Amino acid sequence: MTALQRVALWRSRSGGLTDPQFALAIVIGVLLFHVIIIIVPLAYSFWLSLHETNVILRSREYVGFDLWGEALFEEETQSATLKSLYFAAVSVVLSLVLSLGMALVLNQEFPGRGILRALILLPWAVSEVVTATMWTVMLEPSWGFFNGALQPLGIVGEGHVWLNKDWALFWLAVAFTWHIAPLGTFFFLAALQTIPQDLYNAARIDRAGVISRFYHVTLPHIRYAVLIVLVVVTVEAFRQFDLVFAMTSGGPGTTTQILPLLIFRYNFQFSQYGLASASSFILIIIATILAVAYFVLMTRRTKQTRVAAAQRRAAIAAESS
Amino acid sequence: MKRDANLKLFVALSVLFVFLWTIVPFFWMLWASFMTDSELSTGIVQGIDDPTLDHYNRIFGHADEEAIHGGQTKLIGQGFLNSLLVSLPVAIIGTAIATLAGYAFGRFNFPAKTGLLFGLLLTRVLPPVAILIPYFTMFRTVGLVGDPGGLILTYLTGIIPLLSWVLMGYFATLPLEVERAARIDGCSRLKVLWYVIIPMAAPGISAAFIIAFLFAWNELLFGIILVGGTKWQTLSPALLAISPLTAVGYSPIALFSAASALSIAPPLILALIFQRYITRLNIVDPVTVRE
Amino acid sequence: MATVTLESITKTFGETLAVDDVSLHIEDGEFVVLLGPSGCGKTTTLNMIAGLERPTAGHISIGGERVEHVPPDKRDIAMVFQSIALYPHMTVYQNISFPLRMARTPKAEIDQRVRAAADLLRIGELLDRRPHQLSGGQRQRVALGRSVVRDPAVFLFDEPLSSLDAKLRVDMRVEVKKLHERLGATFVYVTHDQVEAMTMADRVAVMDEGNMLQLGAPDDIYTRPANLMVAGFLGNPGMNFLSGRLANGGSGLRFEGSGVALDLPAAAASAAGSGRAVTLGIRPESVEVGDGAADGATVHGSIFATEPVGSDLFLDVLFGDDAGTSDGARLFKVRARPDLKVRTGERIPLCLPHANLYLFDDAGHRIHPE
Ligand SMILES: Nc1ncnc2c1ncn2[C@@H]1O[C@H](COP(=O)(O)OP(=O)(O)OP(=O)(O)O)[C@@H](O)[C@H]1O
Ligand SMILES: [Mg+2]
Repeated sequence: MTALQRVALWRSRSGGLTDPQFALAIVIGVLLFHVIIIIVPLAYSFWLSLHETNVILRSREYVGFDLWGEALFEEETQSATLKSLYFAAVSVVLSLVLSLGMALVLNQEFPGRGILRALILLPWAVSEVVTATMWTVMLEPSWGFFNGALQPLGIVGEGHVWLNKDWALFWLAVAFTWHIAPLGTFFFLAALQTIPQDLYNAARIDRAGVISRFYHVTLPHIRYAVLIVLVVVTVEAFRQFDLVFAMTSGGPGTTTQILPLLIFRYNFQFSQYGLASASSFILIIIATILAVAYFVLMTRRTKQTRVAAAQRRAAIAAESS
Repeated sequence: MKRDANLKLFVALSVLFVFLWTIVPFFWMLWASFMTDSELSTGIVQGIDDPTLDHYNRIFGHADEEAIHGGQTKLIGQGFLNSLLVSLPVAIIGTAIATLAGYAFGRFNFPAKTGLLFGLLLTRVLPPVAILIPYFTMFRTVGLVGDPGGLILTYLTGIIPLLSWVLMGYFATLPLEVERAARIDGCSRLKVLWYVIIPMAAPGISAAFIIAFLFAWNELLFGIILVGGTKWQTLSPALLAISPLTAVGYSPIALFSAASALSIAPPLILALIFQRYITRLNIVDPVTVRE
Repeated sequence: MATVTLESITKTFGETLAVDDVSLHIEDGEFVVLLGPSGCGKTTTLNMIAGLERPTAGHISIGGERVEHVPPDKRDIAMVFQSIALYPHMTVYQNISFPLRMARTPKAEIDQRVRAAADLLRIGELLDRRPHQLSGGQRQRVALGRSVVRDPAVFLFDEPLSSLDAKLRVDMRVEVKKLHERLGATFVYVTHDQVEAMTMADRVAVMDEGNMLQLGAPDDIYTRPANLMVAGFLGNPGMNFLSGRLANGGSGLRFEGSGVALDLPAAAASAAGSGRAVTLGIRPESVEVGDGAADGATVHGSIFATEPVGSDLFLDVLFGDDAGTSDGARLFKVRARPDLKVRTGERIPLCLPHANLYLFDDAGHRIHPE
């Protein structure tokens, strides 16, 4: 075959990529874009983490993994890491309970359900900065809504400070939950809608109560959604910067200074780029480990739960017929 | 039957709780925005004697006391416009790219698919603060700091994985034979995408568009770092600039509330549209849907 | 117009062998039906002709040209899918005109051809509707219209009628057949419905588990099935089978099965020797109730169940003495006149005409008639 013929053949075949080749071409294209725009900065960040920067002398000195050690063992970073973990844990628990609860409610028949379904998305649609505004309005000690409503009832004392040093981080997690839970609700709603009504009817005929219906019919179908919500909320909580920065900026003192805020300060207040980068990697590593763990759990568990759900469905169908 | 009645009551109470939980913060923020500063300082839980539009007027630049506030309020209007100019391209380009990626992941099997998908999704795990400085440095060397281009690029990398994931689940549920029919009817693969897949996936794609828009509209951190204080400052940094917590000089919460209330108009409208599509998305199980 | 040739095509999906070394030459203008049970690889074969799947091995030619690497949009074929697969976001007119628009046909010509196709299929009234506003039969016509309008060399059909109700299916069957006569194009038609296959095809290819079992004219595969599986698959109800052994009896070769023994026609002797394990087959409609016929073997059995279907009466007859157990292997279906009066449990004589007896060896191949 001459070269020309080969070119002609190749051209005629370019529309004839196999499906996997076609898909792979697209995916690699998109990933390449990502690699450049993410991996390169990440590599640069890694390089920074090995260097001590002195802004005044405009010098940069190679120090190996010293800064990693500092980030790991310095009390300030450790405490910020713990705060990040606490913030994420509270957010995850609250979001999971709240979003599932809201989904179960919105899955019931009641007048105005459509409207409420639309409404509950709103907190998710507004920014973290606005969320911070709203919760400041709620929690402000001298004129805020909570004190205004609760003081006359004698539940809290005069000028109760909600964002005090013990509870500020908790209330931040509540505000964050308010913002993120609607998303989880919609994941759960989508999963709940895949449950055939017949299953509930069958379970009802078998005289299963509300609780056992939830346990035997609902739960197996939403297990996957639970994992998704876990991943999404965990990841978003670890990434969270905007809300905390806008609402407390880490205060009072440093009690709400979670790791992203500390990294921000290292960077822009102290110009300690190396330490900031090293601390960033701690954050990345924790988040990645959690995400990978969830992902593994997810891909492994789904098959089992699907089989289990199918079996249960068959069993219930057999019993009710 | 008594149990049924109890259940009804329980559902009714839960509905009420969900409604209040969602709406109360919105309500009081709006409430505050119509109060004068002195009225607000005596407590928010009270009737407003004389609802004022002062704060809103000020944001639209009609007030004469601008100097006191360092002219910051004017930046809200500008931020509105800038955010629109950044968010629209992010939504358009992001949705386009994610449509391709989501189609590839949702419809086809290819070597290393799970790994590649995971790789893509993992970039979403990356905390923005972790790549701030590199981005800043990189963009400074190519002159993209203070420029909307840098911000758009940043937002695209942030949002494309999520959009691909959402769309992947949607594409996987579309009927395969219709696609095949289009191939037979003379479409190349890309033409199939254009003439058949995209029209059929319009609800999913609209949802992706809205998610991308909201993300760009709401983002704060990169806004501060890349365009904060410049003429391209977006809405979130502009808002923060008049926040009582971080503003330079005196900044009343009532004004801040009014600005925040204005800033949420586009997201709220989009969310209400989005609501119709989201239940049709197959976000919950996209990974295994084609087993 | 074009021939279609498959040379030893094989397709595997991971571990699954979907199509196993199938060869088939289809003449220009021929109507070939691929017939087989669910999952036997019919759709996969059709998809490979269409270019929607690539064969793992083997060659495909259309009109004498190799097409393995030609994408579906360049093969000059039209296809009607099992799920009908209309474009949900387009009107009927847009659906039918879509292939022409993709081929950049001039507007005026598109309009003229779409209307001609719509008239042909009697859907002229529906052109402005969308698929969800159509009935199943109407959708099917639109799908046909979409393929007809292109005037392709080869038409591929993947169980196009399986989603229609019985009455409509009969009507559409006739229409597809007429369409073929009018267009004179090559038709490859996949179905698991043997009536469709028998009534429409010039030739039928019977498939099972990825293999092509037999290729021939409908009449031919019905009267001369190559093996047990083809024999069992065709006909409704299917052919009766008895397993047993050949033995030398008084007047010639005999068949001895459990609970039944009968004389075989002299012609069978040439096919097989005594002592051989065989399966005897006869179609329900060939069996005669009574012992009248001269050229046939008479056996006795008791009636296990009766199934009147109006035009006919089907009897389930059991051989042997222990009439209580319904061992499927010894159960015979017999088609009798609807006015026959019999009771369950009654013993009746059956005549198995020699001309309609089949013998299969233990590998399932037909050994009689040759
Ligand atoms: N994309 C695929 N991936 C894996 N296995 C497949 C795929 N397509 C088909 N198969 C398998 O190949 C075999 C043949 O499938 P095919 O669809 O060709 O059957 P069919 O004869 O058309 O059946 P039906 O009458 O049910 O449509 C089946 O076992 C099927 O499970
Ligand atoms: Mg099929």
